[in-house]
Amino acid sequence: MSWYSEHGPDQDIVISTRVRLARNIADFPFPHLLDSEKSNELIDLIEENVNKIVPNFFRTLHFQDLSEIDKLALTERHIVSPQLLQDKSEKALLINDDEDQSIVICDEDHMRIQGLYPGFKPDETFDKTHKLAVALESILNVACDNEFGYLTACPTNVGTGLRISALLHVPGLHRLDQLKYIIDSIRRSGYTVRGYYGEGSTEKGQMVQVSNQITLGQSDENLIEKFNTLLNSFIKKEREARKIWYQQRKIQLEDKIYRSQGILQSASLISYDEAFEHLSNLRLGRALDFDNFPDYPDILTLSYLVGVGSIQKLEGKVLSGTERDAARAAFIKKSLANK
Amino acid sequence: MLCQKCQNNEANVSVKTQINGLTKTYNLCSSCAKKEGFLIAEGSFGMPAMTNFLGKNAFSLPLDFNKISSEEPSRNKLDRHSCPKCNQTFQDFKKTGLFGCPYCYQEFREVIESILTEIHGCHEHLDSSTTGKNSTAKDSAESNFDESFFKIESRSKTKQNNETKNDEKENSNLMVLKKSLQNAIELEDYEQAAVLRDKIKAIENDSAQVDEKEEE
Repeated sequence: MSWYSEHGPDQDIVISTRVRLARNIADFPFPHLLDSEKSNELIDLIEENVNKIVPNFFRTLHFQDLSEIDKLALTERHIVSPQLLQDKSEKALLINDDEDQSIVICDEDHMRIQGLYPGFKPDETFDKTHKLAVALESILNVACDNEFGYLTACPTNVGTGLRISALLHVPGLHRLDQLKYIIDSIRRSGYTVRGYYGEGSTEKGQMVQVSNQITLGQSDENLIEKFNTLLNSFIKKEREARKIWYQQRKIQLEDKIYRSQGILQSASLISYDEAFEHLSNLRLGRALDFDNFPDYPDILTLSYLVGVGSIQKLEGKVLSGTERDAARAAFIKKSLANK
Repeated sequence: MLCQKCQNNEANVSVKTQINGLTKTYNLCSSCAKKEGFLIAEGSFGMPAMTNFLGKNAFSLPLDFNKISSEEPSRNKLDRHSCPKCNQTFQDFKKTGLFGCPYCYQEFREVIESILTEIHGCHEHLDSSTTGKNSTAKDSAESNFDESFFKIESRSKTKQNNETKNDEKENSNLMVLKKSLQNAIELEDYEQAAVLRDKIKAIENDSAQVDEKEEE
């Protein structure tokens, strides 16, 4: 079962928690200096060793073999970043059936070992990712240095190689015009706040991604603990904001959410952006305990499946813009009727 | 004063960051401050550029390297020096922000220390599992090679037998707690701040008691 169809803690606000560990093989130049032959050699080496640890756990996807629709669908499910797909060099993705564990090979680093979890679970997400990283280190010659820690292509990842992030839905703070102050404060504390698709992306459905910036000078445990504390404060602030919003503008907020529900239940054509915006309002309605609203995993699954690439994958063919909008509207209507 | 990023406009925004206990002040023009996400346009959502000041983009900023270059004249000579393993020069790194291979860290060690301090506020890694990688990593990996590999719920914490390491860890925990306290206060989360304040007090009291015992 896909990770996004499961429940998780603090799901009223946190969509997902992600941990990424960057690791490199000591005897190879970093990916940007590898030619196609050497990249493939490295991909084979890593794949072979991963299979020794967890036989048949991952399937391998070679990026150059993937269709544009497949690639788009991967970014829409947050498995790889949109930037990764623009780069045409040899890359591979090892991914499990639940899609909560993956290894991107030959991105900026040789290995980006990644774990995902629904809701806010930094410890568990770190654990499952770290276990795989530790097992791989025991059989691969991973580059590390006594003083600098794990060595990475970019010095911003050196040390632990750990990047932890959480995707949050923050309409309350947005509505109360408080989000910018919170973001400002988070940034000043050495964290990064980005849009829905991470680096370089813009806002979408009032969702923001927060991640650590510092990877050196603190242990994994410290980084996770600090992130935990910061995010808990952020989550609490968003809950307070929603409460105030609902107390002060109850009828307007209800109207906004029920209108979104109405559009999703009855539209014949709907764009991805519009669907996303309304699904985001539906999520807020669920958080406010509105009657008969779909559960968080159902909303998240829907938002993943109706992306531009994903909806074409679901239909099994290339669709024009209008065809996509029609297929999306029909799929959402059907899914909501079943809930 | 000119903006430290674009070196073109007059700097009219002063940005203070505090990372890993290191406080830094940058003087920027309002346009660069906006681009880096430090100045938020009136009425906007508050996420203008989604870039980070010390992230990858920092390596296209002239300010870090100019600053270090002036402090270390040897850096200019270093520009042309290349890594014997991958042939990348330091100049190549300045262009891309990426090193060529893991050995580059050995080859450019001295200057990398200052780069890492510029980015992370320090240049020393703190985690026993990396430094003792060959033994500790192998041990824990072997115990993980069973069917329950992905089912284990509890987090295996690295044991540190070395007392010095323990002290370092305690100091670093205290540092983390203090930083978290500062964050909580900034976010006006006073409930969390009170919890953190108590934790800090408890650790400080413990170490004071240990010191007293040692003196006795």
